[in-house]
Amino acid sequence: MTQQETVHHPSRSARQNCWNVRDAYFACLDQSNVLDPLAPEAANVCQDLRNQYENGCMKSWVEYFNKRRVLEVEQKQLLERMRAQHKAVEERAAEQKAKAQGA
Amino acid sequence: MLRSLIRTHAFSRPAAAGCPLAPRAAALPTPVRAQLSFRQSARGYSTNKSDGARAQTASAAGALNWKTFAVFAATGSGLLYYFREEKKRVEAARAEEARLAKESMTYGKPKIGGPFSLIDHNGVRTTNDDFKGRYMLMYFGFTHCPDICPEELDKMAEVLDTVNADPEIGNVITPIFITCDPQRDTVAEVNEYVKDFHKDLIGLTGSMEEVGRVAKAYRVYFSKPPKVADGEDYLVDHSIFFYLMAPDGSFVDCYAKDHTAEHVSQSVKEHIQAYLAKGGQISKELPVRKSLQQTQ
Repeated sequence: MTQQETVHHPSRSARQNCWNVRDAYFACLDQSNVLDPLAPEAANVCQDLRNQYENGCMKSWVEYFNKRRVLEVEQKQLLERMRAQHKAVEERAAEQKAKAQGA
Repeated sequence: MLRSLIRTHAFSRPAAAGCPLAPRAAALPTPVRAQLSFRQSARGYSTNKSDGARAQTASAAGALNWKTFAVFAATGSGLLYYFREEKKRVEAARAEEARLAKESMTYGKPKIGGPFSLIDHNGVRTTNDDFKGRYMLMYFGFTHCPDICPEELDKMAEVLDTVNADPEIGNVITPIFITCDPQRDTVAEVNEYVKDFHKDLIGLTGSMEEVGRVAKAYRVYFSKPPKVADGEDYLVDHSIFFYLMAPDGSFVDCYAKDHTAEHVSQSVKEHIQAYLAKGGQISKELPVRKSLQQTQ
């Protein structure tokens, strides 16, 4: 081995390229109303961008980004639901309080 | 301080997630999906609520609705209780933290850190003693990390440039990247990687045992997937804090992913200024490692 030992991890530009093709593919999925890249309905949409994404990113990264895309949306929805529920419960409590005071 | 640190660890590990989102977190979707499907049917139901005839169409999901409604009601009151208790707890913790702020500068610090012996990105044996006399900003990660590590290291570089540019402080921090993936992260990999982020950044690797020991000392969790075939690529799950260590090697503070570069820079500056105000001495020379001099 000389000074130029092979390096396997993606360089800064390779990383940036992977994020770009990922974002393009995910934006296309958004437009097609597909959340999960692994869902059957994802198979027929954005195929070119999907190929670019899968060729431009390491396999483990693709798996990770795909999972995270779904998880992020689900976590956000869960949080929104929790907030809505919290608000509803508070409103009901306030209503009951007002009723009790009125009576 | 220790408590708040543990809390940060316990709280942000599953939520904010380590460099790769823990694969175990993938277990979450099942109940969420059940609720999602409910939500869709509930939306159909509620918009048609006033229309008795059309409400029939939602009856297919009726049982699910009832069950889920019960769950929602229970969760709702549970949440209300939780939020109220949490609010009280946070307020109490804040008061406690303010009270302890001064004291924590001098005692009550968690025992994070300790001696280590690793190989730097030039292939030179390097120990914690090589960095004494300067602050250390340390980050644990791995070169194949998809996005969080590079983002955090960019943030660290920004913090360094900000602090270095302060005329009252100058260059007193040695930034250090320690890999938690020593199997793949050879000296050559680490060498190439650190160049991407900051000219002062020192990359450290070592044997699995050496890295395991330093990670333990810094309370860093990391885990390689158990089944990885030869040549197959993988991600390492790990905690993603970076640590500020004092010139004597003791722990000063740690920063999480949701802390902005501005916040971290400000906090680091304040720590260093407080140390200087107490008459502390910090070397402005980048570390010249004894071991490196010997090999030259």
